[in-house]
Amino acid sequence: MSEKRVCLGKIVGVHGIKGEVKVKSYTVVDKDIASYGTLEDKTATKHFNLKVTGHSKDLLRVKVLGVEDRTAAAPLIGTELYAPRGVLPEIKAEEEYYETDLVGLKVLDAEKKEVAKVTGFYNFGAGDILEIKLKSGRTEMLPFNKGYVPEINLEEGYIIVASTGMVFIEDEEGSKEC
Amino acid sequence: MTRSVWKGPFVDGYLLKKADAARASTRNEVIKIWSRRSTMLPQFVGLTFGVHNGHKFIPVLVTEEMVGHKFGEFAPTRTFYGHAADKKVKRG
Repeated sequence: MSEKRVCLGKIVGVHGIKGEVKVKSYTVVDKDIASYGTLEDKTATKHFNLKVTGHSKDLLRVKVLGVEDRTAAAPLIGTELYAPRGVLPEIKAEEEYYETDLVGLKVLDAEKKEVAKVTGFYNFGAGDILEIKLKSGRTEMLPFNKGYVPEINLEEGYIIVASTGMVFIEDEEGSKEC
Repeated sequence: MTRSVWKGPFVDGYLLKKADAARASTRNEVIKIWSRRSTMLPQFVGLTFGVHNGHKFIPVLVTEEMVGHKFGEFAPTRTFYGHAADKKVKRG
């Protein structure tokens, strides 16, 4: 079985006449895209060694080894850049996970029955939020804490949630005043 | 222009009642609120609020650093969720 891969960015344009390309980086620190070694395209047929040369607004200017002029760089537009999951450094802190490892996992209820899938994680400044997609197609957001997510099993590919939606305190009559 | 200090922070009254109820409860309950304009008070620290963003409730765990900010600041109404190749998440 092939190793899981992570999409680290996408080539979105060319810059200048010396073969530089503009890359939208999906890494937390955008320049880190060049630190994960040789990257490959979606089909794993082309390989790229990147060297970051600067910024162009919110995009990175990147020199791809072996691409020397604009004509050679233009066909690369639209190429997604992948790396094997193994290149990401190991996490040593407890209770910390790579988002890419969790997205797509099965979500089981307390009776270990599959109820949803993990679709994403968000952080709007007030703690990590887990988003799941229920079998009905509805999405729900849950606080990512031990109360709502008591078990995470990466080996077997599931997480267990205490409830598939947030448990709200009973609304008293007239409590919604605005 | 900033709000006059003599007025004190603005909080919708029903939030205080709900916060008291949540503190009394030992369960992992979320306080459902629509009042994005209310200021976070020190007595809200440690509680989780579900702040409405126009179409769903976003969980907001109040920490000490958030006191003085408004609830609405943490539940964006227009969101670009973004990409995350090497982003880490921490279970609280």
